[in-house]
Amino acid sequence: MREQVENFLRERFPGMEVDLGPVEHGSPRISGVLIWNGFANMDVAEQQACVWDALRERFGVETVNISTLLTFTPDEAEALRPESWPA
Amino acid sequence: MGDNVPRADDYFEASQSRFQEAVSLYKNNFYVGAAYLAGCPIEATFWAFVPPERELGQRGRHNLQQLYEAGLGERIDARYRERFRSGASVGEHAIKLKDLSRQISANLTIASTRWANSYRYYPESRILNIAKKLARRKKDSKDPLKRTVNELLDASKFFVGLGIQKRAWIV
Repeated sequence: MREQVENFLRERFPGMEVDLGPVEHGSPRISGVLIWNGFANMDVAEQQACVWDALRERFGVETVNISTLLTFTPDEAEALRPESWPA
Repeated sequence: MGDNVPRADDYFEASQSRFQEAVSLYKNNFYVGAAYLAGCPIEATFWAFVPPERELGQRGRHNLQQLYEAGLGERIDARYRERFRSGASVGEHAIKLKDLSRQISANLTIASTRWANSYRYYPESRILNIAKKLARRKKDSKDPLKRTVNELLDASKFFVGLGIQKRAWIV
C-alpha cells in the first residue's frame, strides 16, 4: 500500500515531495513527510484536510494504515534540516 | 534500571510540570523561554510510551514524529487492530482512527515546525526569525513570536492530554 499511497499523492498533488520513510519492524503503518509548494497559502488544518480528504476518497477504510503525515512547505522543510541549525 | 534513567511515570510528571511552566512563561511575556519549554512536554509524553529496549539513534531521540511512532503511535494502532479482530465495525473505527491520525498529524506538524530540541541554544533573534517565516498571512504577522508559541502550547496541550488519556496502555 505504501507505494500506492506515494504514487497517488504525487499524481494528485503535482510537485509534492513524498517521503514515507522506511518500513518499521514489518509494520503495515505508513508515516512520513509531505513537502509541497501548494501548502504555502494554507494553515496546518487546511493542509491536513486537503491531504486526508484526498486519501480517504481514494483508499476508503484502508486509510487506517496511514498513521502520521507531516505537511511542510519547501521553506519550512529547509529550515528543519540539521545542517541549517547553529553549531 | 538506574536512578538516572527516567521511567514512564517520571515522563508523565515532567510533561505536566513543563507544560505549566511554559504557560507561566508565556503569560509573563517570556516567549523565547516558553518557545523551548513548550515542546518539552510533547517529547516527554512520547518518551513515556517508548519501550525501553527500542533503539532510536541519536537523531531519532529528539525527532517528534519518530518518537511518536515508536511508542504511542504503535499502541494506538495495536488497540484499533485488536478492536477490528474482535468484530467491531471496521468502518466506524476506521473513521475514528483517521480523524485521530489527522489531528495528531496536524499537531505534530505544528510542533515540528515550531520547536526543536536545539532551541535551548537559540538566541531570541533566531527564534523570532523562524516565527516570522511561519507567519504566512498578513493577520499572522502581528506579534509572530507570541502567535507561534501560542500554537505550540496548543499542540503541547493536545499531546499531554492524549498521553494522560492513553496512559493505561503502558505495560
